[in-house]
Amino acid sequence: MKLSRELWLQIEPLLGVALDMEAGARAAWLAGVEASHPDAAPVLRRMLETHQRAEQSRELETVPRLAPFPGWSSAHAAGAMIGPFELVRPLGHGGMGEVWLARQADGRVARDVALKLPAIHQHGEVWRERFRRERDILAKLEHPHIARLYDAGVTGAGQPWLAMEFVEGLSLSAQVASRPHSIAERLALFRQVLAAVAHAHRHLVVHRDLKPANILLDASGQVKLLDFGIARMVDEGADASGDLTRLGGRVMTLRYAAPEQVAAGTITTATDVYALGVILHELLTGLAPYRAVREGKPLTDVMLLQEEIAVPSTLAIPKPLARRISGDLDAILLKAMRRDPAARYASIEQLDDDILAHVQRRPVKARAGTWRYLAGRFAVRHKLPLATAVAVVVTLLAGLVMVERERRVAVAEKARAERHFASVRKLANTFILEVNAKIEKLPASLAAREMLISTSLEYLDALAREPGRDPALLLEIASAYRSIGNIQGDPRGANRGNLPAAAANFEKSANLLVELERLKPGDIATAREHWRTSYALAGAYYQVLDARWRAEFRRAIVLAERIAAAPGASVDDQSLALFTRGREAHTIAISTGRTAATQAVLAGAIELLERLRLQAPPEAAVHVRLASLYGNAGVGLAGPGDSPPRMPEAMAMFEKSVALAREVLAEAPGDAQRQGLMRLNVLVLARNLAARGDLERANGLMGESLALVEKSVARDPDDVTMAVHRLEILVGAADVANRLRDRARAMRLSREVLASAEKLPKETAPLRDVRIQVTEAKVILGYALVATAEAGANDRERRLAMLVEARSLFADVSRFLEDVRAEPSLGAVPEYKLREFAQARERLDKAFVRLAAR
Amino acid sequence: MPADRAGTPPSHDENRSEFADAVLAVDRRRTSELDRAFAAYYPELKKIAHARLRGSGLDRFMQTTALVHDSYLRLASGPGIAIGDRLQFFAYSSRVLRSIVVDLVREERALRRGGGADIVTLDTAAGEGLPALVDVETVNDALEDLAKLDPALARLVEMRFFGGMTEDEIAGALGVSVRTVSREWKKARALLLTLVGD
Repeated sequence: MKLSRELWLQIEPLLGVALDMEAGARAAWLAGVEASHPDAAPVLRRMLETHQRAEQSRELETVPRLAPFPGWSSAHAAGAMIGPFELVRPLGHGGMGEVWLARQADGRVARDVALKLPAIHQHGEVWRERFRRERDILAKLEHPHIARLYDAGVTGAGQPWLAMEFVEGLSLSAQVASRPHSIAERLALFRQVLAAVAHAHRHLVVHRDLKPANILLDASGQVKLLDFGIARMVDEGADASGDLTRLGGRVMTLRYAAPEQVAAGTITTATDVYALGVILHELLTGLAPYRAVREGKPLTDVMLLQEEIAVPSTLAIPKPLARRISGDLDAILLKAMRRDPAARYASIEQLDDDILAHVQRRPVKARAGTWRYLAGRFAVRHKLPLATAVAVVVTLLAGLVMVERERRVAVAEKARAERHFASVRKLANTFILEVNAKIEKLPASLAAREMLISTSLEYLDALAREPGRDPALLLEIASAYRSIGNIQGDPRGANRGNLPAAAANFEKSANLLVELERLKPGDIATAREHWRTSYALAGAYYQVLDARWRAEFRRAIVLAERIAAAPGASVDDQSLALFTRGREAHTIAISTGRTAATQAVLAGAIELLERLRLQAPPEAAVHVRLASLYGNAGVGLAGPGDSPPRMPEAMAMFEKSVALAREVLAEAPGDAQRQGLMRLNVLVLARNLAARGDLERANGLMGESLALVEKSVARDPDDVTMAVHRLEILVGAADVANRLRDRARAMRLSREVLASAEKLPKETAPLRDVRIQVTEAKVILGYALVATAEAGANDRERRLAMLVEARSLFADVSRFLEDVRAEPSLGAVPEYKLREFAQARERLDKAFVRLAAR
Repeated sequence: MPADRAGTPPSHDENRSEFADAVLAVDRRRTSELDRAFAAYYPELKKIAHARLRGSGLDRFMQTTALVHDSYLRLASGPGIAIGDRLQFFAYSSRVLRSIVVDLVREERALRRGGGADIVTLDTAAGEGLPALVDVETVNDALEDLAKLDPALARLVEMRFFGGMTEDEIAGALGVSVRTVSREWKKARALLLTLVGD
């Protein structure tokens, strides 16, 4: 019905009052409302009725679930080819898909097969691989009572197919209905089923979808089980595709599903035991264990979960049959269908043992708890003094039950663990790899990404604690630790500026990788991952002033060389070793000064990379690395070292680094790493131009990169790398302004540096780069203050204030230099920077003395 | 006296406006960083919701559902995200879930030849009693009408029915009492189901 807003505004307070009162009081109250609010009363009455009904049915209170859809029409046609098979005629269909009789027509074998075509479409190599693996497991399942899986595959169009032994026959239920079978005959047939399922369980394959329709009897009376493990195969596919077409399937099997399967999707061997219990129940009594099914109503999961299964012999069945079933068979059925999986038969063999025991009139374990029963059996068979027999047997059984319980739990746990393992792992990896990569490029996503990965990692970690070291899992975990490390403090990407935490996570990753290398020596995937971790760790160590950066660089070089030397190494792989060597040389040069050796390594790396660059196909990664090394080589040439700086060569390197960076950035303008490379190279070029007096061009470049970095910082204020980058560019711009004698701008920019540095997370402040930028800014600000004061445009008081501020800044700079001397780990601060600071101090000292004396 | 009582302003009016404010505060924050991030995160959320939706059925893994839910909560209550954004997050995920559910039903219907309204229904039976069959598109359409009458109530239905949030969770997310949520929920349900009826 329709309702106007005016009317609703009238009704709303009335409805509130009505809902607050006792249901019984509402009728009288409504009568009053009819008088006072004639328009609202009828609608209000309806709403209250609706409310009453909804309270009962709890409508709208659960998350919607799609119900099955009836109706079917084939998606395939006779004569069509699926893989090497030609479709002949449909054999059947279900929620899972279709089954066709098909003929293998590829010239190798000519045979008829039952071709199963799950109603899912799946693309992607990962899924195909899993499908192949599953197929290989199932194809090994050879047993006279199991229909063979010949082959399985996926067509180019993404249609999976499974070629199975074609069995002509009737289903078990149809067979039993076709002529009278004695209980003994039924049990004998059922024991064939048990033999097949037990065989599969020994090969760690759970059927998951046992039902009479999957149990055929061929002409010779032999049982053939269909679809072993297929449910799992299809499930995985449907799961990976996010495809819901299989939803209709579950109701068909609900009748044979175990409660834990319904409630939680838990699949273990105990799931099959339950299904077999239901099948045997139907086989023996001709009736389903659930009332709804017996009454021809649809069975819901709620009913399944709540209904207490009745003792089979008490159902409405003929008296002689009830007598035959009561006792042993009642107990066996109920034990197989216990709600708690651990209370069921621990294995198919035990279920079979009990059936055999019943047939041979031995005691049935399902009735173990009832000593009168045991006593009865013993008395009948052994004619022992009853009291003695009971005492002995009860003692023996107590021990047996304990052992059995433990074993049962172990078996159930194993299968369950495997299920959880696979699904949790898959999801966790989706988060780490796919979701993370997707949101990486979004603004302000760092916090979300860190949360995402650390949650996923917790799960992976929990999996890793389970027994059995799976190398693939270890690799995933190592990679997850590195991802977190990168988010916390990737020295080159967006990060949250917590380098100590990052280093700790890189270390965890490295430890796992060392273990992996023991498990799989020479594995290239492991080596690649280890290089990434090791390289990142070296950078992090360097930033947090941890002397281990040198050793870590050596390790990264060894790894890179191993990767480059491996057969089938790509151009990218080959460039890795050159790049790592170059970076090590650069890091040594900027921390302790250039030497002939560092420059030789850099020049050699550049030359070889230039050659690699000419190789087809061109690798973007090689270009990025080359652009980076050109800049590094320039810094070395321009910086202090064991010989005088070679500025013309250095400038050429800087120009090249900027040109290459522009080129790679143009290919992918949104790439954060390339943006960073570009900003850095431009900054270095601009600073060197400024130092050489080309202030105009330096100023232009500084302006360009300042505009770029401001935009990036605005995108993600959490990104500390970007914030530190901004500091560096601000310092560069302040330096240029100072050289241009634009003191006001120099002061404004350097004050901005100091203010921004204050706002960085507290873990960031001790970082080498930050401390250097702050100190440089203080030098520039102090210098600009002194110069302004000296210019004499201001009154004396203003000038004095400027000098006092400069003096305090100068004191900070001195303290930093003291720290450098006191802390050996800070010794890696570039020598030339130290010299610059020292010179600045002297100049400030003199200026201060001169001005104060005036 | 009943007429008199109906005529006086209900005592919980303040709670009422507090509730509406809390719900609608979510809308005012639409331009926050998180919202923009989630706009692009939508396809992933959709995947997650697919898994979760199936989890509400029979044959899915409990563990994956738990992981998804965990991640939701962890993301939402994590230290990196401000309180305002948490409201945003909860509301946003229920809005996403709503559109996903509706999309799914439409896709299913489009898939079935001659697809009619009776083909896909939603089984919302929560427990004992007969399963109440509510058509999801009907609920969706009625929600549109409801939003015109009372946007706060529409959003509440979204959170509860499509988002699968409990009353406690909603109360926590909005910063109002459970009692308020419970009362508003009863109103919303009565109004919505009345709108659904002809």
